[in-house]
Amino acid sequence: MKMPEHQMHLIRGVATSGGVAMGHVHLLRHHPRHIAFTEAADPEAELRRAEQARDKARRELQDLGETSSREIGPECGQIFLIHQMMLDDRDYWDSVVRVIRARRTCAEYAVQQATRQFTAMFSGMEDTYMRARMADVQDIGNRLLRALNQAQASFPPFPEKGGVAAARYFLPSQVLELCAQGVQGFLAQEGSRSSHAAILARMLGVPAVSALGASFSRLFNGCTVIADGFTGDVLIDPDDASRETYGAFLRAEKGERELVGQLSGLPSQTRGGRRVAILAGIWQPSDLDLALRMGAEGVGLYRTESLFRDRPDIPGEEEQMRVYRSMVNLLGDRPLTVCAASLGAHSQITCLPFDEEQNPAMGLRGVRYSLRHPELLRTQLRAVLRAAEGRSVSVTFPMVTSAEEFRLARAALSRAEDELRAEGLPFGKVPLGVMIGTPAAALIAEELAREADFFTVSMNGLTQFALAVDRANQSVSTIYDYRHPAVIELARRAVFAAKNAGIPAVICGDAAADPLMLGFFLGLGVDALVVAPSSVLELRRAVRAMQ
Amino acid sequence: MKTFQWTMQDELGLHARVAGELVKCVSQLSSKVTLEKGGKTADATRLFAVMALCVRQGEVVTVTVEGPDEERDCAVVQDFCSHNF
Repeated sequence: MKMPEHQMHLIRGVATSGGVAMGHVHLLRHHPRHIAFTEAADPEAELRRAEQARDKARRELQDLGETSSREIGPECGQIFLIHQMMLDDRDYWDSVVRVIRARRTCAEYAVQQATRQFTAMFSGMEDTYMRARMADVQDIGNRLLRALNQAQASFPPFPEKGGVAAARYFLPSQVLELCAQGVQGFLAQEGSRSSHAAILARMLGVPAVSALGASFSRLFNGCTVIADGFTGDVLIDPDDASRETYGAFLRAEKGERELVGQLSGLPSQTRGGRRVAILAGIWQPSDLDLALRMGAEGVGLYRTESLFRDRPDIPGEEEQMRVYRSMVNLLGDRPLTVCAASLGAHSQITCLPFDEEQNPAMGLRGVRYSLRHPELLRTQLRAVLRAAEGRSVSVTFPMVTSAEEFRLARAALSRAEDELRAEGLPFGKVPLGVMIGTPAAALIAEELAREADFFTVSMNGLTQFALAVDRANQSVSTIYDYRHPAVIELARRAVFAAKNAGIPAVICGDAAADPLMLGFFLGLGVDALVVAPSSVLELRRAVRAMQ
Repeated sequence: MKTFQWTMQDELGLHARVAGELVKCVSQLSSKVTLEKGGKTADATRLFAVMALCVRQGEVVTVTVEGPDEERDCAVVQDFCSHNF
C-alpha cells in the first residue's frame, strides 16, 4: 500500500521577533483557571490578604525589574516598572476593594473580577498599541493570584527544552519564564510587535510569530514546525528541503550566538591589560538595539543623515531631540557621538535643495554645508545639547580642512548654549570633535588638537582623499587601500597630535575592524575603535588574543 | 486654575512608559492635574485612566492644574511634557 504523501502546510502571521525556531509545538493554555464566587465570612480579613498579596507582588516586580534590567537591558526593566505602577493604580485597587466589600467575597475572586474589568477596557480599544496592554493587566492579575495562593501557579513548566510554545497570546513574565526554560520560539494567535511579550522576545533573541489568526488552529501538540521570525512564515511538518535550508541557517546562527555568549560581556582588553573601547558606528537609531546586543561599549559615530532621508520636510528640534534622547536612554552610561549631518549633493536627500555639482564628493558637504546653512546646524546642535542633559553625548564634524572651520562650528555650539540658557531650557555639556577625514586635517592635526575635545580619525575619508580614489568606482577600486603608507602616515600624525594634546583619539572606517590593523592602532595609543555592530565581537576576540 | 495644551509627538502616542513617568511626576505635586481629550478627562495620577484616554500621535491634550501651588506645578508638568513628548 502506498503511504500518504508527506504534506507540509504554510501558515502566515506577523513577524514579531527575528530568528528561526525549529521544534515541536506545545500548546499552552493561557488563562488562569476560573475562580468561582465564594462568600467570605470576614471581608476585612480578605482585604488584608489582598493587601499582603499586593505587597508581595510589588516586591517580586521590583526584583524582576532590577534583575532583568541588569541582565537583559534597561528597556526590559521598564516593562516591569510599568507593571508595578499598574499594580498600584488606584482605580484598579479600588475595584478589588469594592468587589470584596460589596459582594463579601474572597480576595481571589475580587482580583479576578477587577482584572477582567481592566483587561476588557484595553482589549476593547481600537489602538493596537493600547490593546496590547491587555496582556500586562492579565499578567499583574496572575501575579496577584499567585501571591494569594502558592498552589495556583499560572504557568506550568514547559514540557520540552528546545520546543516551540504556542498560545493565544503570551504574558510578559511568561516570556521570561519560558525563555529561562529553553523555549526556542513563540507562536501566538493574537498579539503585535508592540506587545511587551514581543519586545521581551526580541530582547532575549527568541524568534516569535504572532497574529496567526484562524490558521493558528492548524497547530497541534507535538507537531514539528519551522517558525521564521523574519518573515512571519510558519511551516507545519516541513519537508526535507525546508529542514535543510533552515537547518543551515540555524547552524550558522549558533556559531554567532556562541561568540556573543563568550564575548559580549567581556572587556576589550589585550592579554597585557591594554584596554580599547569598541564602539558601534550606526546609520539608523534602530541599529542601536543590535549594537548593544553585540556588546558595543557605546556609539562612536551616529550618522544623522537618515533623519533627513525619505521625507518632504526637515526634521525639527523637538523631533531630533526625541531621537537622540531615546538613544541615550537605551545607552545609559555608555557614550554617544553624533556626527553633524553631512548633507550635500552626495547625500540623496530630497527635503533640502542642492545645486547640481560636478564632483559632489569634493563639494559642499560636511562642515562646509553646515556652516553655509546655520539654521540646520543650529537646530541639530540645540537638539543634541538638550538630549545631552545628564548624559555623555558629543558631536563630531566631518570634512574639516582648517582650524577656522572648526572654530566657527564651536561658535555655533556656544550660541546654541546661550540661547538655551536664555530660554531656561536645560542642556548638557557636549564635547566637540574633529573628524580627521581629509589629508589637510591630518597635516594640521596639531593645530586642530588645540581646539578640539577629541579626534575621530576617518580611515575611509583619509584613504579616499589621500589616494584620490572613489572606492565605489570599480575601475579604480583596487587602488583603494587603507594600508597604503601615505594613509598610515596621515593616521599616525593625527593620533600622535591627539595624544600629545591629551585628547582622545577614535578610529572609524573599515580599517578599524581589520584585525591586521589592530596592532598599529593600539601601538599608536588609540582610545576607541568604531565598527559596524556585526563586527564588535570579532574585533573584541582579536583584541583579547593580542599580547 | 492653569491650563495648557500639548500635542502628542511620540509615534506610539501616550504609551505606557511615558504615561507611567507622567503619573510619577504628577503624583509628587500638590495640585490636582487633569488631562482632557475629546471630552474625556482623566486624573493624571491614575495610570489606567491616563492610558484609557488613548492619546495618539498628533492629538491635542488639554492639561489643567489646580491647587495652591498651581503656578509652580504647572511649570513642572509643562517641562515634563516638553521633555517627554
